[in-house]
Amino acid sequence: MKRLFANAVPWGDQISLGAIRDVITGRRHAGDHALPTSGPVGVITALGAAALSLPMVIALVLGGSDGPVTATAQVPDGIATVRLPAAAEAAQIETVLARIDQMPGVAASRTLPETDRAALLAPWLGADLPMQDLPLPILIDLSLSQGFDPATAQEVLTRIAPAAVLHLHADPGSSPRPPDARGWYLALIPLVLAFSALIALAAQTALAMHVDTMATLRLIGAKDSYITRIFGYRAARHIGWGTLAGSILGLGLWSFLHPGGLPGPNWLLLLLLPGCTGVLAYFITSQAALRWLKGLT
Amino acid sequence: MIAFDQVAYSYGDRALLSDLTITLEPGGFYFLTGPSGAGKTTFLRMCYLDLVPSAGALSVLGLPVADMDRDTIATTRRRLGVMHQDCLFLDHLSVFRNVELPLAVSGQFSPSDADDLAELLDWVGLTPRAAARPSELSGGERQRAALARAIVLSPDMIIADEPTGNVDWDMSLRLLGLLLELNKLGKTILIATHDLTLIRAAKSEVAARILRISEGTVQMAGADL
Repeated sequence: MKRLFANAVPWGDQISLGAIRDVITGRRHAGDHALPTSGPVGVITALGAAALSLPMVIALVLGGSDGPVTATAQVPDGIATVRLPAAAEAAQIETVLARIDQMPGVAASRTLPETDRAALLAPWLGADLPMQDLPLPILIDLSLSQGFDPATAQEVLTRIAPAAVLHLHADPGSSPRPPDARGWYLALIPLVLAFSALIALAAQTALAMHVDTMATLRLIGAKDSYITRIFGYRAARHIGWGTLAGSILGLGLWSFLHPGGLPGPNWLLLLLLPGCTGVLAYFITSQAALRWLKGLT
Repeated sequence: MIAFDQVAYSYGDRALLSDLTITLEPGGFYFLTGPSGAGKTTFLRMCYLDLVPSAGALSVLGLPVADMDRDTIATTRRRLGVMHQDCLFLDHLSVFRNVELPLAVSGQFSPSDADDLAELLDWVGLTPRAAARPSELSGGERQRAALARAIVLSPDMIIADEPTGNVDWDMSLRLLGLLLELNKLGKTILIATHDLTLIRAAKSEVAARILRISEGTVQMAGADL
């Protein structure tokens, strides 16, 4: 009983590397046994984390699938049409045609002849239309190649003929233009908020259940940092493992639905997800515990 | 050790204790007596920093309580071993783990302490019950486990709130014997009790001082009872 005869020097209220390792490996951190086993609250928290991390994984995979998209790069080889008002003068049409031919990415252009325009309308209005009497717009067909910039083209056309409108048509052989994948990252905002709400709710429940334990620990000499830490570790472990399970499930689901595999190397970032949510859980829970402790001596 | 200077304590508008001016000396053996509801537990709770005086100056182990932050309160409590009236065990832990807990919370636990803990449990006669849960212990066993937990950090002072309240006479004498042994090791002892027979038994072994609470104040009654 050497401790009875000499006051030992306290050394450890700080976070040690061993403690962090124990959290990652799931080993019980010294002092963690001060908290009773989590029971249903812990299981529900982990399941909630898994459920929330699943859409998070999907959003991250989709968000990282194509990277930044520029309008120029995404215009497929194909065709476009410039529409001018019926009242456009021949000189103006010539000017437009000349300017179009100078645009990068335009392989060829031609004014649609009257017979072609009549053929376009025939299925709806019949073959014997009096084309001369109808105020039909002038149409210019463009054959496009790589490098065509629709935004710049429209701007140029508007300067020459303010009523000119450029229509892009997808080449039937090419894939449709995908939406800007970065939009998927926006889905992370409500998901992170939902994650935070889940952690805060789980923390309040756990703290309410263990308020007597907190009081006892304080009375036998525990510092606030010690108590907040064991609650933080506990929450980090539940959330971290739950997120890991959800991430694996999410990636598995993605691979099942897309046999081609995971798009791009960005999915590797998903490996950080359990750690990130674990840190978030540690921070939120330890702060909540600190607020509870202020009510105790 | 502990010095009260014009200390008062009120629960809301009701003044329970007032004008307390008393000093507990290091190495002393003190009994705190008085009728139920007189404020014995309140007095003890101020001693182990669970309550802050409403007025006056209190210093514990030489530190003014008014100047203590929460970390200082925690580290000061490590130098005060407390046997609470209801023991305050963590029921999901074994007796061994409960006794070990102050070492864990103060960051002083190491595997080599297991032998010391076993020896400590042997000293209080709880070796066969080390793996039991607190709810499985008798009243006397709970008090001895509480004593073991109170002294595991080798505190300067041991505060016991009615330690013999729920045990038979033989167990009371056994607990008293343990506390007397600790006093001989230089530990200051403060025991709240209304058991006058226990006080008389202690007087034959040690020059115990008696603090008597009545009418909202505490007076040192000296060695005579």
